[in-house]
Formats: sequence, C-alpha cells, structure tokens
Amino acid sequence: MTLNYDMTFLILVLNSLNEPETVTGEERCIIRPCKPHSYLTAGITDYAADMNIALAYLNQLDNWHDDKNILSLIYAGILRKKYKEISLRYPRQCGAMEDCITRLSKLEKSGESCPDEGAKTFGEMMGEIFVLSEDRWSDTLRAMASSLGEFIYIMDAVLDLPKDVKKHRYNPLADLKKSGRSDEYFKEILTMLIGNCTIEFEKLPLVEDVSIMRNILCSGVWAKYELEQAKKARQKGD
Amino acid sequence: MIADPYKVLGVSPNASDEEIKKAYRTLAKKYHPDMNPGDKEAERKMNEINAAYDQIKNPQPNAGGFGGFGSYTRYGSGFGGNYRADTDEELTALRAAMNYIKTSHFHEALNALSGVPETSRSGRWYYLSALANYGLGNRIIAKEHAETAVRMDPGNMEYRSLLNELQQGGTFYRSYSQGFPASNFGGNLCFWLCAANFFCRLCPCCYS
Repeated sequence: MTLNYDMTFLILVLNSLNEPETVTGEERCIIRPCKPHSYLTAGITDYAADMNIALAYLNQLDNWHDDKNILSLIYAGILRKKYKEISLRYPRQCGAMEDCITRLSKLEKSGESCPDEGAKTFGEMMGEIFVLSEDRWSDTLRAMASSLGEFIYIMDAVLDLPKDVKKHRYNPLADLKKSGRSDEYFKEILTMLIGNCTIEFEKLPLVEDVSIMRNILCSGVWAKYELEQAKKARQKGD
Repeated sequence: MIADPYKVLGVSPNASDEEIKKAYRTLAKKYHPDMNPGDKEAERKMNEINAAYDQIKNPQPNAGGFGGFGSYTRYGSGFGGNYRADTDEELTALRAAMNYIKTSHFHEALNALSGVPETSRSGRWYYLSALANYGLGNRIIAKEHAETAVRMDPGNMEYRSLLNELQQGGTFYRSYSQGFPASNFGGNLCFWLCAANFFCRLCPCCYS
C-alpha cells in the first residue's frame, strides 16, 4: 500500500476547501470563518501526517499477523504509542481503518473473486480519511474519496497482476484475467473509477490549487501505470 | 427549486465552472452564519446560495451521489409485454428480483437471481443483475453484466441506457482529461518524487 501521493492530494483538497480568505485584514476560511487560517492549514498537514502514521501502524500490524514478519512487529512497536494518541483524537477515522484493513485481510484469505468487494472496502476507508469533520461537503468528499480508493485498489491489483499470477498470490483481478480479459479492459475499468471520482471532485467549490489537483487526477494517478506500460512495450520490442 | 440559480450567484448562465465556484466562495464568505451570528436574513441568503450552487452542479433534482440510483424507475417498467422468459422458473426469479430492486433490497435481488442456472441466463437476467450490483456499489460487476445484457440483446434501449449510465464516469473522464499528458509521465514523475520526499520526512517508516 503506497499512500504518499494520496495524502498529498488529501492536503491539497482540504486546504483548498478551507481556502484562506482575506476579510478586513484578517485571514479567514470558508468553513470556520471565525478561526484564523494559519491554524487550520497546519491542522490539515498534521491531520494528513497522523492518518499516514495510523495507516502505517495498522498496515505493519496486519503484516505481522499475516506473515509473522518480525520487522513489521518492530515497526508497529515503534508506532504503537503514537497510534494510540491518534486514535483517541480521530476515533471515527481510525475505527474505519481498523475495520476495513481487517475486512481486506479476510477477503484476501478467502480468495474473494469479486474485485468490487475489496475495492469498495478500500474506498470506504479512503472516504472516512478524507472527511476531517462533518459539514456541508462531507457527502461529496466521501463519494469522491471512495471512488479514488476504488481506483487505487484496482490500480494496485492491475500493477501486481503479472507478479501475483506467477507467484500464485491472491489478486482480486485474477479470475477476470483467467477468463481472458485484456489490458484494455482493465484500463477501461480504471478510467470508469477515476471518472466517478472526478465527477464528485468537480462538485466541490475548489478554486485554489485546482489546476494541480486536476493534474493529479488526469495525469499523476496514471504515472506508475504508464511507467509499467512503457516497460512492457519495451520488452515486447526487444 | 430556485427559478434562476445563476442570478442568485450573480453570474451569467454561460459563466465558466471557475466563475461559478469563485462566485459561490465570495458569497459564502459574506453570508456565512459564523460571520453573521443571529442574522436570520444572512442565514436565509446562505441557504439560497447553497441551494443555487447545488442546483447548478447537480442538474437532476434529488440525485443522490453519482448517477443517482434513485432513478431506477426509468428502467424495468416494461416487464411482461415485451419480454418472454424461457421458463416459468426464470420468470419467477426475474420478477422477484425486479421487485427487490424496486424496494432497494439488492442483496435479496441477487439471491433471487442466483437461482437461475448459468446456462439459462438471458439478457434480462444480466440486466437485472447489473442493476442490483449497481445498487450495491459493485461498479465493476455491474458494468460487466450490463455489457453482457447489451451484447445478448443489442436492440434493447433499456439495457443500453443503463450501460451508458454506468459508463458516465469514463465518458466524462475521457473529455475531462483531454489536454493532460496522460502518457507522458516525465514532468509528473518529478512532482511525485517531490511529494514522496516530502512525506517520507513526515512518516517514520516506509510502506511495503
């Protein structure tokens, strides 16, 4: 699970939604105009970092339970105290993460053949992470982040598919691949999922940094995929 | 419904997306209840601005989220007349599934459908399965089954209309992302490395 760039996107979206507005010399934001802006910006970056740590901790814990990887246990040990603090501060988000990671692990163990199950679960987790606090925009944010999560989950599965098939590891797309689905088919699925995300994204009243965010949604999210495709094309050419 | 949501936001009906969002932000800042404590008129105005923005951004009234599954009534009314099931069992299963779908009992609908053996599944079966899966948020299977339904019965507009709705995201995205260098990762790679570097400093470990 690589969540770095998703966290960048999280910061950009939440910051832009809470865009600072200069009102009579004071900096204010649209959601809580009474609070000074600088506090919120720092708050959002800290929030994303906290979510990152929480995910890292739960991920390592899950690795330890699954593979008895001792390094994972050590990492988890380092993060445990910090995680406890974070889970007290953000019980909704951490609860969702714990729940979803457990469910994902179960799906993997049972060899779930329907890719939607895992995608939805991962999406649900992303949805909760993107909602910092419930307000007028939480429904749209949740819908947007869920679709983004579904995209990330399926993208991961597409990228790992050749390796997973070779090593007989679980992959949510294995059955579809076995039934003869092409790369184009998977690309179409990915396009549909990120498309659902962009539809919701465009409903948000985002002005600041919107071109960077659009660039991420239209281009950045495909970076790894394109790299793999280029590699594949080169191998075919040899 | 607001008669002219553009007027409420103070923009022309052919205003760009950017202009609408900017106008909304400016007005929301001015009339936000936190900025006007106890001011009933500001509160009313804020509600109006929110409603106007929603009306422009979600043209279908009451469409819940993407696609708005609540619109299912557009499909599935034409049972009976134009459709003949191969067997009574299939007909019973499909009728049950349709009724479950109409009342948003999607799991039950799938259950009813699973009673029909794979070899005797018609275009209608795949269509209903697509609807139930769509209702459950199973976008990949929904698309898959809608495509099968259209393939089995290419002339059915109902099936096509569902498939179009499911592909709405993809259709939107293809025009949306035009002009972005999707296959040119060079410039973006730099951005990603910067972003990754930034977060590595925040995070005490790396993920596998």
